[in-house]
Amino acid sequence: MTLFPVGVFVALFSLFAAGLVQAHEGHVHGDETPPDSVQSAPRATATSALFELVAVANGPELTVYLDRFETNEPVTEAVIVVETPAGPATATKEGDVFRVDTPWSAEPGAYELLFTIEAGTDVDFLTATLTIPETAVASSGTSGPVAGAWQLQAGLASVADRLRRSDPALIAVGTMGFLSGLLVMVLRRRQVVVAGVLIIGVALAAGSTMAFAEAMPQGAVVIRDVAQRLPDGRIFGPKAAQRILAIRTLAAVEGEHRRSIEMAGRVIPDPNASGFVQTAIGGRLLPPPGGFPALGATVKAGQVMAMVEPSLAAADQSSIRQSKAELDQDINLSERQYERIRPLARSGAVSQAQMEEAELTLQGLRDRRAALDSLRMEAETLVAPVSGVVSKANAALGLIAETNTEVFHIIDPSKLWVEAALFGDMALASSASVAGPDKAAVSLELVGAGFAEDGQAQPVHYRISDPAAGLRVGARVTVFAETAGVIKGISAPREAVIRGTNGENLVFVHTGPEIFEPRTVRIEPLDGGRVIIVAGVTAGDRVVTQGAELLNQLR
Amino acid sequence: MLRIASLMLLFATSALAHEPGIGPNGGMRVDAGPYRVELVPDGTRVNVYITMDDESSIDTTTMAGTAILLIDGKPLRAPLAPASPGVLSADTGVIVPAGVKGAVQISDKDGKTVQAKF
Repeated sequence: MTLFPVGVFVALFSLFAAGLVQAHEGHVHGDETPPDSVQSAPRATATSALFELVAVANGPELTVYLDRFETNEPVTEAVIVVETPAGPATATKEGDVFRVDTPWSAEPGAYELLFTIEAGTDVDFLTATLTIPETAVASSGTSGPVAGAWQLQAGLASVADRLRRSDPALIAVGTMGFLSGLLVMVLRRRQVVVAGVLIIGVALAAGSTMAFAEAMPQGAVVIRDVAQRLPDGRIFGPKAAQRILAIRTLAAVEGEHRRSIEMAGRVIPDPNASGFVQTAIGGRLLPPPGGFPALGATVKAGQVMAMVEPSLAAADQSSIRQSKAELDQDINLSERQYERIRPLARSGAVSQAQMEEAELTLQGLRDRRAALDSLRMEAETLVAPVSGVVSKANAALGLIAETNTEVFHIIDPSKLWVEAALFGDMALASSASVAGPDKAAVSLELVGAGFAEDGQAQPVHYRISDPAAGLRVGARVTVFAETAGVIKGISAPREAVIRGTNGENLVFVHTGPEIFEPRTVRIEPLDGGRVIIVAGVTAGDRVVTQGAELLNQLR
Repeated sequence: MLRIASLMLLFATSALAHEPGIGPNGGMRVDAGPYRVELVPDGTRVNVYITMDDESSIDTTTMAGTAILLIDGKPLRAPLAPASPGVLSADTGVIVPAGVKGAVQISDKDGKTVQAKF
């Protein structure tokens, strides 16, 4: 008998023994997710057409969460009376939950509870069963041939798994077993065989303990309510977490909706309710009495916004100077002529008509000279063409403005339009909408559509019906325009639909008081705030409309 | 084979569950645990008829319970006591309308509780 095969045999046996010790029933090894029944506190749930109730047992007291069935909105103003094994008990309100003292709930057992709920005018009865499990979930200590066979199988599986992972503990046990085998072979004399077997026994025990210590789970059974994704993809969301995430739902109602199309658009001012203040002649800007209107100031139509003092170019100035000199010369000549003919006119040597002509000529020349003198003094007054808000102000004291400079832009924020680009030939209904700043749909009225193509698109103008929509001029928006077609489906807010990991559209359906099921859906645009779910959800399902994105983050 | 098994299961389920409906005494009858419970308003009293699930009679003399009824928009609580064989009864003090909404909790001598919602 050679040394090697015996050593190998002992090593394999040790490996197997280590596997056996490591694998046993009663708790879960590794980083697998423990089942929710182990993690969550004992709870009773009940639903009716009005309410959804979850009662969580925390030792000798019950925490009762009461929500509206359809919306999942917490009901905090209610009188809850519970028929318990110890008689009726009234729940006391604590923040947004209710608490009931239940000394009996510390003992394991199944308890029938009857909740009477009075919330305003709504009265309802809810029945639920609270099962308090045995507190210790210990290993059951199975024995017998069946258990032995199971352990053998589990032991083999465990060894295979550990070999795959090159487990250091397993390698240590194997090495120790191999060395023990060698030792037995070396000390083959009869008197030392017993001692050798003893050494093997001690080594195996040590190795196995090592393996076991390594394989112990990090924690025992911990009872706590944690929102988590179940292995089947559904979300377990305890009511406490639902309150924090502010989960709200909506009962799906199937209806017929106008099919809509999406268009890229831009908010523009109503051309009849906005205007520019521009300079007609170049010059220096001067403030009106009270100063230039500030950005955002409200102005009235006709209000003086600025003055422009015309400034003259050098060529203009020299030509004016020349004109002035010519005029001065002409005035002098005309004065002399007038002085000469005046006494002659009195004596009748010159006709009266000649005298008047000379007088008028002189007067005309003087007027022209005076006009040239006052030329620089007359400033142009710039007035607001419409009432509105100053949305652009380029005025500054002393600024030399060119001709056609846009000094102010006045917009009436209550009169805005949306310009959208329509691709394709489609008949549009008169109503449309865009998503407002708070994600709510802002309705639009069709003003008209252009006929000429602008970059292969047809411009369409809409008037924003609601003046307090909070949209700003120039903002890029998506216009949802109704078409003549009709589509059947369930309308839901846009926030309800989220994008799954592989790009599909998902909604969460509230299938149980604390269970949310992801459903793949097909959607069509409806308006700025809503979509139509055409497949994936049936009427009556409670679709999560608020907090869906947060639920999807749970792992 | 699987299809037959699932069909059998379906029939078994449908045989087990009784639809809530009008009972032999003219009141609403529902399932409650191992029993079938019928709530019959009678003037100011309510009578609760209890049978086993297979409609065989049971001893109700050791049973007790509570009836909570919605009368005039308010919940009204009345203790149920054995009245005649198979019947628990309670006096509410007010006229109980037919088709009254409410719930009944019944416990037997072992302390086992069942409840029925109407």
